[in-house]
Amino acid sequence: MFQFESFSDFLYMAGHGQYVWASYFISLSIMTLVLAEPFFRRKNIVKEINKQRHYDSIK
Amino acid sequence: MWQWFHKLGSPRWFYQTSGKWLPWLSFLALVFISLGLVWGLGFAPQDAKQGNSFRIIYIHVPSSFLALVGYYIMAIAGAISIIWKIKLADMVMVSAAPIGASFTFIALLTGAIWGKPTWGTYWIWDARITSMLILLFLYFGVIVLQKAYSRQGLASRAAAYLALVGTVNIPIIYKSVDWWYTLHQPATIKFTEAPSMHPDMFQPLLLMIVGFYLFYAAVLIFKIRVEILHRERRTSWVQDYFFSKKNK
Repeated sequence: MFQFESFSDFLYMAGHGQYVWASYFISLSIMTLVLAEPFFRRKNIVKEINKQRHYDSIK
Repeated sequence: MWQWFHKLGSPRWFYQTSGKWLPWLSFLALVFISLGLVWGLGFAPQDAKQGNSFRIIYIHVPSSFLALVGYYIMAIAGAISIIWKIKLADMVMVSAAPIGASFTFIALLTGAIWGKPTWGTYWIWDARITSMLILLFLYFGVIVLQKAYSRQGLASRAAAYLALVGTVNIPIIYKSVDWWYTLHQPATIKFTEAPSMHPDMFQPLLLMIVGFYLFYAAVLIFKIRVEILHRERRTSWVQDYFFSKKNK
């Protein structure tokens, strides 16, 4: 059962909202960054591989 | 047996096999974490003493677990790369370090935020918290050492030795709440006993723990794959892999 009476109640969490939401927001942001980093790195590596292939082909 | 061992250490084999697993792992991680988030934030009952601030547990405990487990994974991979000189093990170590450091940071940060409404302070030099901070610095040390030498082999060996020496800290973290008088409460979940938590609170925590493990596994595999691509970018199999894909 949902523990709060209204959405603003849910945000406020009887005074603890700031701590709870800050924890969740920062943690999930960090996890998103951890996940995003290899995507960007992969993109750069693939770019480099294609560039190398291009140089090899015109050599 | 040796053939199997050899195969397991082959980056190419790992790259091809892990590609099939990764989408499933990622999907399951997303499902578990989403369910755990909604349940933990909105549906779990509030704690009798701590009120709603206890909901931080659903992030704090899973990330603390992974901070420690991630260290073991990194150190064991480091040991394997020192002893058997398996390239893949070194890539596991390199990839595990930043993820483990992130989870250690999350554990410390959520702990600090949780400390404010519960203990009245963000920070205290207590045994559990201090040993976790040392863990974070050990992770940083491994990451920095890994990049400090231009010769890859030397850098990896130095980082692996530091990771191994640092494992001394892990049992200290586990036992810190029993050995010293600390503000930090003793472990909520133990393998030997039933959890000291109401099932309504414990079930979403279990979901989050499983979800975080799956997330960790998915990100680790993904990072290892990218590391493989980077180190093997000039080999023919990587070139063929991208070339044949483009032609299709």
